[in-house]
Amino acid sequence: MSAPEPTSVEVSSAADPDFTPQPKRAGVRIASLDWARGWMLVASVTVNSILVMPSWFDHATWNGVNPVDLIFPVFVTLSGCGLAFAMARTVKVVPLLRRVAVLFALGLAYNAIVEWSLDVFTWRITGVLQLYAALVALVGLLHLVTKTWQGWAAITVVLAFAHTSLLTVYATTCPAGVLTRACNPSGPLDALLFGAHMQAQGIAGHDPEGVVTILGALVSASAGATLGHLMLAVRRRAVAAGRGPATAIAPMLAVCTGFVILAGATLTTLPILLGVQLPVMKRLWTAPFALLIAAGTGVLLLLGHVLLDRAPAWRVIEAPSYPLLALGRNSLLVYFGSHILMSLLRHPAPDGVPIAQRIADAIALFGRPQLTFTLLLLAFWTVLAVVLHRRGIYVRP
Amino acid sequence: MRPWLRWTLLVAIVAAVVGGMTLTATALTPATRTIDVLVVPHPDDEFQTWSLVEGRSHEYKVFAVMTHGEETGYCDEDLLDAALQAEQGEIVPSPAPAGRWSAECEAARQAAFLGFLSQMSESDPTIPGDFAPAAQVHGPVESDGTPICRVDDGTTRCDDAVRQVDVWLDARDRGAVVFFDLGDGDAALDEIAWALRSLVAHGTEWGLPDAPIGPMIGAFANDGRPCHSYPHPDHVAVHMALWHVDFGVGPQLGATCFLDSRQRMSAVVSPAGLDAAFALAGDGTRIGAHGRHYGWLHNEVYPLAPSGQSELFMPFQSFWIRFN
Repeated sequence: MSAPEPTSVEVSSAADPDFTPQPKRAGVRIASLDWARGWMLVASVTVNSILVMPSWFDHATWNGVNPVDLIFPVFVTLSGCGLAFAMARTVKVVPLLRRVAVLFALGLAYNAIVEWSLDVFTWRITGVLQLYAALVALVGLLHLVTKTWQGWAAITVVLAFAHTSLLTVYATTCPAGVLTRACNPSGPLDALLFGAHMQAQGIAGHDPEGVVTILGALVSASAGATLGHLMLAVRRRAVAAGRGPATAIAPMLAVCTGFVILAGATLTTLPILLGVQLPVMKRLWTAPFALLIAAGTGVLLLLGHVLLDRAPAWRVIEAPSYPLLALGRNSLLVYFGSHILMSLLRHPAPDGVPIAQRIADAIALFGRPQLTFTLLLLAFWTVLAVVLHRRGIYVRP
Repeated sequence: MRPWLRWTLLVAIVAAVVGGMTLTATALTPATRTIDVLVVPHPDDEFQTWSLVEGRSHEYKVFAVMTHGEETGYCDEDLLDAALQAEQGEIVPSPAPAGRWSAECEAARQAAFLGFLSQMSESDPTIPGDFAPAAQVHGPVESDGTPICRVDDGTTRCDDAVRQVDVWLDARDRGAVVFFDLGDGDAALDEIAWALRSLVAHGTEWGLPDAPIGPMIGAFANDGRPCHSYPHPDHVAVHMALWHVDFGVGPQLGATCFLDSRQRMSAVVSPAGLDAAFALAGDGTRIGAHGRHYGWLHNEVYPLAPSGQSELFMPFQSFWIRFN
């Protein structure tokens, strides 16, 4: 645990981790990132609490995008934005590597709990926290190349086409040029690097996950970093000119439109040239998927920016946003904590019924166990985040 | 380090990593042979999927033709005489068609289809084209409760003969042609689903290799979108079957308009493939396989969309994808 995480910065004093929100000449803390994270976490906790997930809502079995597929990529995009805030001035390599190592170790422990297995040879070596660790490392290293939004936009373009190249060139070896569960580059690569158990042709639910997915997620993170650096740059100019957050509307929308155009370009250039399919899908974290989500996330950030990042803040907006900001400040804890908690609660009680179902049945109000259970979990994580926020406690490696 | 050097290094590293990943993944992928099924309503529709057919050496290609094409008016003597331009290189149908729905008409259309593939295989050795003169006849295949009938000039036939399957196997093991007899102009969704289920179930009995079936790719259909309009009921039925029925094999595709909201991939027929099918000599003589073998089924030179999708036959082909 540490002092307030530097993934949310105050423009005039980004290096000051103990900064507390208060009006200043140079502006106030950029709260929109926490606000957007807060909404993402509300969605995440809600989705995780669902006891019987309808198939149309759950992760797509392969091709396509279902609602649950949106949560983690939004988290990754917002993380890219947060990392841009944190690394806008400088990149401290040693603390960065320490953070990566801790995240990776936590990820393995997290997978052991979720998989309910101590057999290391069955663990998801590139599970979600490890993927996040890899992104932190890569985004940190890429900040040694550029710290401008234009530079990050260029990186996003390079990575989007790099990932698209990998998938489309490989797809030329697949029957009819279609990437399937049996024919995609993740299968041979991740089996080689991490073991055959990493690729179960989509049957394991989380797979494929590995280097191909990490590269796709890096597109999301770099798009998020682009948004973060853009917000900082626009904010800097707005403060200097004495203007408000509305200054960000045009540039933010322009960049989000750029993401959509880039998604279209990745869909219509190499795939058609090579005569293959590039699906918009989560499982392979394709570039158009990452970019479309980044565009939507950018709009959410912009909305938060316009509503919250002003001095003085609108009281009518600020007060009800407090729980969201608290959640957002402890996003790692709530995101992964809620996953671990639900993993534990999904295990069956001695009578074979999952513990979560038992609890839901026991506390059901108005005959609505699912609704009551979801509200209970949301209340639990929100109260926890608010308490921690009030005490200035933020969980980060 | 100077900015341009940093960027150069970054791009070089990304290219090296992605290139290495691509090469490694490709090298580690075993060359597994799969069966591609091209679902063709009539024996002249196959070029509508050609971009996904040509040049694929690892894929055994099965042309599953749903009808014998017996309803064409060009099997009538007067229309045939008007359409056939033998002096322009169009091959005279054999046997001579004896009118719509006649056995000779069916045989002539089957022969034209086999002739087309044979000629295409001369320039693209991955195409099956080395066929025995006579088909292997299998069946009648069990109907599984699905009424399998064909309607000839208002007369409905549901006898065992329509559940027989004519199979030609390529002597060089590159593919096969499987003719069903679901009735030109009246092939229905259920009948096509039955045919494809039968192919999956009995393929090895009919001489197809014991390999996993990969994609099933349907010929073009389109209605109401600004491409070539082709709402032919047999084509629509093929699309309906591939869209709605999961045959439990690889992905199921249908050739469609690029502007179809369901469109998920597009591919272009190679110049060599295009030439092999549609080339004309300077004086208009048909050189390409399509013009030569199917010329008798069209009054003029077959129109080919130059770049877009304004004609039934187009080098730029788009597809929707289901069950992947």
